[in-house]
Amino acid sequence: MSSDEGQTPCHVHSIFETFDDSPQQELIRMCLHQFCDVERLKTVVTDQPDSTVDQMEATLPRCGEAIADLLSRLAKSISDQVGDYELGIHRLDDLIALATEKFYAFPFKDVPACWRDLFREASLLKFSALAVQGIWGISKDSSRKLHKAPPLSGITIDEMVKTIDMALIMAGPPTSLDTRDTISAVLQLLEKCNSNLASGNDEQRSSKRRRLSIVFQNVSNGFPCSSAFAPPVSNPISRTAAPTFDAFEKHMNKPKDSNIGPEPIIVSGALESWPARAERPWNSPKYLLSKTIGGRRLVPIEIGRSYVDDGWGQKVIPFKEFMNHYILPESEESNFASGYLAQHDLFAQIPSLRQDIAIPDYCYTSAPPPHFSSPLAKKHSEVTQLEEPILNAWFGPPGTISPLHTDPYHNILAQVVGRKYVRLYAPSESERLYPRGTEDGGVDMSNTSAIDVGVLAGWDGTELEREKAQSRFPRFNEAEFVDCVLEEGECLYIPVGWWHYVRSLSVSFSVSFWFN
Amino acid sequence: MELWASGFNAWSQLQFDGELPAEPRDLDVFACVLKNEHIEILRTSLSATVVQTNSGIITAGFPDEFTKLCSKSNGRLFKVALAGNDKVSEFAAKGVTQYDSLQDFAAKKKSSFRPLSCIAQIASNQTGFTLLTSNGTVYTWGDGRYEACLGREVNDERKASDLCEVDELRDLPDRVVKISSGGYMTAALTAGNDVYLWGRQGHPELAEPLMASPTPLDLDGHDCLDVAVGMNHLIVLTTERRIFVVGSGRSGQLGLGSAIIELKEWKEVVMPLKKGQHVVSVHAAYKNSFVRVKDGT
Repeated sequence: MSSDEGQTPCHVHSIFETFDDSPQQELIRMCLHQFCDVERLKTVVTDQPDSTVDQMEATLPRCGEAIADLLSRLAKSISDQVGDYELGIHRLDDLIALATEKFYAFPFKDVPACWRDLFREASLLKFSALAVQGIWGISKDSSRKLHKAPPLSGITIDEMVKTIDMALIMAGPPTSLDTRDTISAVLQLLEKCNSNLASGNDEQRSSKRRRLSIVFQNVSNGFPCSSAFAPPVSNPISRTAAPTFDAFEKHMNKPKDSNIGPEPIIVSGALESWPARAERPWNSPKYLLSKTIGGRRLVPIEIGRSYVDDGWGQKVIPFKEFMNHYILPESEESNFASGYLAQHDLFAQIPSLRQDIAIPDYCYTSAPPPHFSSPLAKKHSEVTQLEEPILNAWFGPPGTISPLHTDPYHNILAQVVGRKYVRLYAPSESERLYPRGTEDGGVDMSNTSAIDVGVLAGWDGTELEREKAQSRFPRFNEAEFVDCVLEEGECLYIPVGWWHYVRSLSVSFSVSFWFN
Repeated sequence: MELWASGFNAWSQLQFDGELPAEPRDLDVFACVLKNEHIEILRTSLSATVVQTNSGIITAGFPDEFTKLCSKSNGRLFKVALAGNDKVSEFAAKGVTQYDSLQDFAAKKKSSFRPLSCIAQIASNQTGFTLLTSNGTVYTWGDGRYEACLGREVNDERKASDLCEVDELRDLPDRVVKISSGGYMTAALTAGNDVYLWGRQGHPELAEPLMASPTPLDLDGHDCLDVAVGMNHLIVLTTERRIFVVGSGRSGQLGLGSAIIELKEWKEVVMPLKKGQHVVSVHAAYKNSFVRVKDGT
């Protein structure tokens, strides 16, 4: 856990800091002086896609004066630890519920920024209230007040992590870089409070608390070796040892066949410098738990075989629960309940994990526009030019499936842990892949194929299901594809608009880098 | 006459007189909050309650911008509805005007106008509007993502966003005399004391219970005199002047004490009324309930 040292951003150190502070005291100071600062609340601003820096105006007043007023009163009350603690928590929950109601009232892209800010700021206040619960109501003039704080209990740490993670997942990270830095700093301090609790450094620890925290002492150093059915590779994608920047750019921009455009390629040896594959090993459950406050951090999980199936759903659970229920069980393949941490920007949520990887240089090459043979080319070319690649984590047990779909970006899929089968179809094959249309409720599913590759290939489902699918999608057999088993340490380049079907063959942790 | 209330009170919107506490608590049982010869609720919002009394208009709580804007012109409070997604609709003698946002409403920048006569009442919930005419015709329009909340068919000719009639309420034995809407649900009360409900209660993405078309409420055979729909609760007054509630009680809006967080089955609320007093109407705001009580005479 020493890998956290030295990552606290310098500028969040304030004049209030004293050198003999324990992590918990430092945490409380940060909460009080940053999150509960009424002046800061008045100046919370959020990027709107259509506004420039000088157009930014404070967003919270847009929730209405009544809400802005209540929020400042609550901030003041927590800052001074006076007033009715339970009622304060209840009101913060009221405000978080109100913001959540607004998330549903508007279509996702139209939710006014002020409601996301309200969700986040009310959550940061609740986090702070939980942090100071132990010194609530103690006379203010006591200069040693902070030293009277009893150690945070495991239950309180859980509640604090849940509060801040729901805000990061539901409302997204704040626009203010200072607030972002403070959030990662307080979470690192909370990590220290947690490890103190676990190792028993705190004087007042109880045996019950200790039991809660040592659950992971028994965690083994690797993932289970059980593996899932491995489809045979029919039309292997070629491999190349880490090409130069120029060679890769040429691969994308000077395709062999101009009617098809740039083609997928496997790059090996490009992840050698990643700490995630060396001293900060992502294939170690113990390491991953240490990066998530003993597994207390929450992550969004997809439950079910694939996002197009009935019964598919999403939930937010502690990382520890995800590991225990979905990743670690040493059981037969069929017993793996399918839970998949998919397409989540884990690195914005847990910035220290971001230090374990590096954006491949290839993402900064000048990438060609969507190929003309793609029916989605027009739509994909309307996508905003990215300043920086979009990162997503994909972590799950053997047998997770991403159904056949396309993305509006070029993609470098980096395989950090485990193996995955990937099958790709060129954009020109689209009409043989039966893209879905706009479905009930107006959801545009045209980037997803109606085909279940596993059923049609005879890997999943019954013979009867396969025959039915064949008669429903007669042209699918004619579609040409390339495929591979992406091995640990390899990267797969997926050109924009290429249809891909991805299936994990073992416990697998990949990172995708979208760029354009 | 007395006004009784229970529920969400973060801005003292349930307190009409006396010194205001710094940290107002929610009420979890009904209590008398106002006495006057005449009491009529003009408007409720997230943070305020506006009532008409014999002594003039009284406001409790923290009036929001929208309520202040509507209060400027006489009689407007009744005729404007604000949905949870900031869309605004207003009716006048000649028809209904729609605005895409609060800002557009303030700037009088309308998005559409639909001519219609004899409009009696307008109601809004999180994503849509319901309109009632004096001859009992009910219209709905709103966000197509939550089609069930419109209580009618949606297709190319009858778009979700267009004001269209709820056909299934057309051939009822008695005409609709009142509508109420909140959260993702809408209720219609008929002259024959029946209540029809459509939409869904609480969280919009919950599968159940969902009523995509007007469904008669069966409250153990009771006839209904009044109905009101809040953010995620319902309150009904029967012809025997008994009150029944269902839904979320997290803020005390059911008036059944703090122990009931979620009520799945209807339950009666008994208020400690004096002899001769009886309830004349029920109202629901965001997460609170109001009951008007009259003396026996």
